[in-house]
Amino acid sequence: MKTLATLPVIIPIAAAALALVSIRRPLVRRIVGLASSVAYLAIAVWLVIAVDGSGTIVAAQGDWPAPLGIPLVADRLAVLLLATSAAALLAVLVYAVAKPDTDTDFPGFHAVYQMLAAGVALSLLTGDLFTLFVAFEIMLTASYVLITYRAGGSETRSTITYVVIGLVASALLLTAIAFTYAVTGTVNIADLTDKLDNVSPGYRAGLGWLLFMVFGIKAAIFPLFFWLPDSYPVAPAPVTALFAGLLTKIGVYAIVRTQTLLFPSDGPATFMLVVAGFTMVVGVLGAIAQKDMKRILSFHIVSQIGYMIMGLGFFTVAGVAAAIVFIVHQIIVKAALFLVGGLVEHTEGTGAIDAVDGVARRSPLIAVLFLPAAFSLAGFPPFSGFVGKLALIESGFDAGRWVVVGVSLFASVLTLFSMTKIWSGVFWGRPGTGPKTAIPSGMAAATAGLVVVSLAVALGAEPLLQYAERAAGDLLADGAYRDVVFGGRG
Amino acid sequence: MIVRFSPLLATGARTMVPTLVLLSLYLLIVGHDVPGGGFAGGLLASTGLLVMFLAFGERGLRRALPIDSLVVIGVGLLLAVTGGLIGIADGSAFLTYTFASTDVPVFGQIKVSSLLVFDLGVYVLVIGVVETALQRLGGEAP
Repeated sequence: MKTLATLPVIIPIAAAALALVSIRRPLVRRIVGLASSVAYLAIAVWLVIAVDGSGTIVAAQGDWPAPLGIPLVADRLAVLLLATSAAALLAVLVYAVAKPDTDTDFPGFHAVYQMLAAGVALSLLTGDLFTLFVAFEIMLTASYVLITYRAGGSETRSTITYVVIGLVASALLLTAIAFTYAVTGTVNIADLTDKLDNVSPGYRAGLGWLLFMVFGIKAAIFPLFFWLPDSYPVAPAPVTALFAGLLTKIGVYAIVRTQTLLFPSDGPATFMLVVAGFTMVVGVLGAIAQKDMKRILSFHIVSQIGYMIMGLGFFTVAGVAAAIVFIVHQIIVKAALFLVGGLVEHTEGTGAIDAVDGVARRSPLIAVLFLPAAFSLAGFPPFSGFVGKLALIESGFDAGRWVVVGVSLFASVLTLFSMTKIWSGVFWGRPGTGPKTAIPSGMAAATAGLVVVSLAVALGAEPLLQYAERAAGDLLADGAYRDVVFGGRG
Repeated sequence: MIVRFSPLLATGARTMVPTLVLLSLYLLIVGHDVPGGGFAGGLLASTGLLVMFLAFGERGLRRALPIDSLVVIGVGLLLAVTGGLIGIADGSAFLTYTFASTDVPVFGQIKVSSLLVFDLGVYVLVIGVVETALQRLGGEAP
């Protein structure tokens, strides 16, 4: 059982090693990558079932007990996001393999991709602040390779922004961890929940804010989001989809994890709501001003991050649960929308709104895939975005935070507006007569798979919400996390 | 790329490189209890590669390590994971180690940990990474 919680980290690393050993055999690399991602998904789903049934699994690496060793803590929140990420990772990998030029141009693609998967799993599962830093480094270093390997000319400038911001944020994170260690003498999260109580309130609040800011850069919250819409669109479509679906959400996960467990009493709750409001509105206004599908969608990533921070800012079980559901919905839908954007670029050669017309007629399949994902992003019933937003708004009313709820509704309307901009600009209109490239069936199937998962999220909304409430309860219950980590199986 | 062949460096390299490799292997083996280990050993061994590169250029690098550097990294990573898995095969957690100690004449007591496989993996991986860096950054522009 404990080994099971370690496997999502080990399997991708072993697969990356095999992909490097077989660097001269493209087919072997491909099979290794795909097999690893399938196994990763299967284990993640199994973990969700096991953890929800019999409680958090704590796996102490090297059998060193906490707080000496590094535990992997598979609690409800971690495994739910792991399974969601695994679905996105698998779909994007299938898409990338089917796309003619992605993994053939770059022999190291599968190794780097699997390392990114390992970094994601380690970020989600670790119960140690320093290991969280290491996990972010694994994930981000892999992402630096994926975003730069095809860049040329002006794209290089955008990707340099991405790399520099990533490195600066990492340095800040390391500083924050050093401060934490200096005042408490530990970096074990379970141990910190207790030891931070003895730290003077001013210093503790300072640490909380520093960690919020550092993870805020990774999550692209206002005003630290400027790097994202600049750099994401230049990467190849599957890479952008992966980044959009996963990376920023892992940043949000780190915010949720640290703020609920470590700084529950003095979390900057009202400040968070203000930041959340600005993130939602500024992001969506940026999206409206853009003229390219991928750029519009990139600004939407920022806007939607605001909703998650808002749910956390309520600091109630219902609010955090709604934020969790919203993260799940976003990972799937965002990745799906970028894959659709990639399909448009693949068939038409560009995703610029002015240059493409009538895709609904020319390639009805793309339109069919785009519609549910777009409606879901805007929060239309009965799609998955509606479920998340409804839960967020309800919990906001319960918490009495009327202003920010109003702002979020306003941002939703603008989101719908910018989606109709894509729809009328790209899908409607007189179909062009230019040449069009056929879509490989693997690319369409991967996109369709994600759209189906997002519909399943909407259908399973009730059980998902209940699960998320149990997960949020675990996080906010005083001392629960600590007891589980220190007591082995709880 | 080799700017100017230096007979002095080339002659020195013939004694330096084997010494560096031997010393790195020593660091690898004793690293469990005393300063050293796979990472330090690997770095020291790769300074041997660096000397080969400086003395004989890319040809010297290829002669010292005639395998694709990415494969070297892969083998190292695979060894490191295997080293961690020994613990699981033993029925405990990932990276758990056991060690045996034997008395060897002349050298005295030597302890061999199952994590030596992990350390060996790190050793190989570091060599692979340095070789890749030397080829990519020190080689001719493609």
